[in-house]
Amino acid sequence: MNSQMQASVPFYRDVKKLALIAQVVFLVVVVLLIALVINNINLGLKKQNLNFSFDFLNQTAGFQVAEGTAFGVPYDSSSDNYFKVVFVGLYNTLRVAVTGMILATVLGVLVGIGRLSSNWLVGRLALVYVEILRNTPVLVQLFVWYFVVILGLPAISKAQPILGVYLSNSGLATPWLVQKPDMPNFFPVTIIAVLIGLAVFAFFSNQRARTGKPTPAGWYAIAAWLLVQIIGFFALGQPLEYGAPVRGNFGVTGGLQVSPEFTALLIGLVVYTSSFIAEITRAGIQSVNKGQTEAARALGLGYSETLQLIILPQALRVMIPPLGNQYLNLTKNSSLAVAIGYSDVLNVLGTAGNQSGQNLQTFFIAGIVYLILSFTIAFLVNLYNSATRLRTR
Amino acid sequence: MQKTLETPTPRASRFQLWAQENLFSTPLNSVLTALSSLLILWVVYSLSVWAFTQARWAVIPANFRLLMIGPFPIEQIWRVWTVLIVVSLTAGLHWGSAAKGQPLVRWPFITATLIALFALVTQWGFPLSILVPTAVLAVFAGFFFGRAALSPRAVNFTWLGVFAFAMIVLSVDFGQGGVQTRDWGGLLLTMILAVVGIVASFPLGVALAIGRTSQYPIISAICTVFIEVVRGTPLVVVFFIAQLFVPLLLGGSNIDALFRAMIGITVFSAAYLAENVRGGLQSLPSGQIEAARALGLTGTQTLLLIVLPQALKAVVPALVGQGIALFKDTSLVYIIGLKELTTITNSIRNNPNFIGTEKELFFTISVIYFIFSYAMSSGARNLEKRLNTNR
Repeated sequence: MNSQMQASVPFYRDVKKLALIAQVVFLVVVVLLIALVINNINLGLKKQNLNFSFDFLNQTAGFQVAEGTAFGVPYDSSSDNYFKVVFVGLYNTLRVAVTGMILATVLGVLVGIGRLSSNWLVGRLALVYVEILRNTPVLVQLFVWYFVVILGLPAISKAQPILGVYLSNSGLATPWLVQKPDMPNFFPVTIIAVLIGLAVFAFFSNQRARTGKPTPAGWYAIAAWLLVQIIGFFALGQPLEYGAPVRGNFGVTGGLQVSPEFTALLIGLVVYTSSFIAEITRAGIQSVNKGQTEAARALGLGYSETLQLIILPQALRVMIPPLGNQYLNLTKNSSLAVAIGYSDVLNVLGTAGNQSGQNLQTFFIAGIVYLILSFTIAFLVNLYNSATRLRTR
Repeated sequence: MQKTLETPTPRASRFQLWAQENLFSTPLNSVLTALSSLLILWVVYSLSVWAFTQARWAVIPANFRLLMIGPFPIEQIWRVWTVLIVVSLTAGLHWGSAAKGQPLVRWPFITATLIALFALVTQWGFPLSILVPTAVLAVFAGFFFGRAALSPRAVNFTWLGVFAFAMIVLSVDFGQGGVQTRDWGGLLLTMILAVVGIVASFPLGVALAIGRTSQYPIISAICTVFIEVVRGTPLVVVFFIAQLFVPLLLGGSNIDALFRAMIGITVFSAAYLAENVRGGLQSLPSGQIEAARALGLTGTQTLLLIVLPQALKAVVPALVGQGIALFKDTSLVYIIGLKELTTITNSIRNNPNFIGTEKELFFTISVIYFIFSYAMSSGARNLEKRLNTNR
């Protein structure tokens, strides 16, 4: 009976078949469009006597890159190829993005807490900070940081060091642990140490969830990380040494030297992103039920204890997805390095494209690199999100 | 037990009470108040010292036309004025229709009076002394007409007409030569890019959102991939790719650079808009759709009459946020050399006559960007209130 009825429905009135047909038609249209695009691009390339290959990556790059190291390996423009240059740019992008994320989070959370301060003046000040920064373009802010603030600083010959840190119009020079030239690269040790730290954190938080015993997983993780760093340091024969910047006749030598471009880009991105993180923090804190605060205060917790132990952990759950979006935005905005001449991955690829005449491929690579970065960040945020999600029964 | 009568302490003034409550409630708060006051004093002091004694403001009036319209030919400037007056009229209509039944003294009047005062004070020469008051009068005329006769919905459609009218008037040759789009510049180009981006990305974004939430797996997958790929790429890279790919795609190398940038910003913005709209679509209880289908509405009718109006209303704040982001992002066309506000500012900065005026220039354009972005966000707050039917 049932099958008979279904059989009697003509195909053009059968919702299931119509849906299938619609999807197939849509797919065919999309495939045709893509084929058309590829065909047109091929035709256009032929017209300009170009071909879409990535062979040029093996050629010697031959152009200088300011701040040219890739993950601790120095870059030599006379012998290294384009492939290496991409990694130099990627390293510079990651340097500014990762540092930026950490600093923007700290600053943003502080401003966000300031927004909700019981002190009227502090609240207003934070509001003005957020509104000014959110309502002007990040590019204009970068120009201000670079052309007005950083390049407006005194020259290095006149700069006054503060606690050994020189801030001048040729950038930032600060005491740091620096790599000894003829020693093994210390960078991989740092990566291994961080990974081990993360693994320890995952292990102990898992154990805490299983047994219910209070375990300071964060402290164990930091201890493990430091331990591996220190063991690695001595195992490799102390490849780092303390270096302080010294002013000579031609600028500053020694210590950690950061270009004015990096400084401006980092400050610009951190300050801009912090205004968004401040609003996320405010919304997150406000999303925590007021009864939680009152209960915590009734139990005798102080203001900062309430904030740290009761409010922030709960607010964090609400904050993580939008926070992840801000990390993505910060990473993508780091491509504005082009505008102030910092050698990030896009800037380096742009130069490589102009020099080799392979613009199409280099921007294609740039797109892929940013996609990988974005998906990695999104993946990590999702991982963290599902680990800290509220588990309800 | 004898009670001693305490002498009543003199009542604190309301300000004292307020200050005690909000500024000096705890020792820590008092310290914070002192520090904040010092910070505010320092910023205000150094800003005023700079603005009144050091800044060379002459750079702004000297380049005012460049900042506003870029290299737009001076003999064709009537086109800009025509558009400005028509836009003023429509803005007046918009305000008027929105202010129906409300007291007269409101923002448009304050704004218009300020503009008029500004025009009087600076004492511009002949064409401006006529044109600026005309624009101001257009705002007033529109306000009264809109208040008396128009519904907000009618004005929304008028905006679309004004947009088409503006694009035609700004470019088409009426016999004495047209204007090339590469001569559009300054704030004018910023506005054109922003408006085109917002108008064009809206239908595309809504379509992508509907596609992504579609129950058909193939359509949903394709839309998801498109949205995620675009969202994972920086706008600068999208612009570069648009500059290179669009000519290859359409088979000609003489495609307008502005058109390529518009395609880039539209596609980019549509992907973000789609995610916002998707939030609205998913927030809608499924009972709405079921009820609509039970009443006999077709799929299309359900979408257009039931789903979209509610879904879009739910995400108005996010959509306006997206509009503000797009407006700010127009500054990125600096990277591909289009002469909008930020690019023009940089070229003035590099002009040997105006060396060392970057503070004045960047301050001015930041204020311009701020005014428009802030106006959009406060407009959104009003719109949100008006659309809120759950009062």
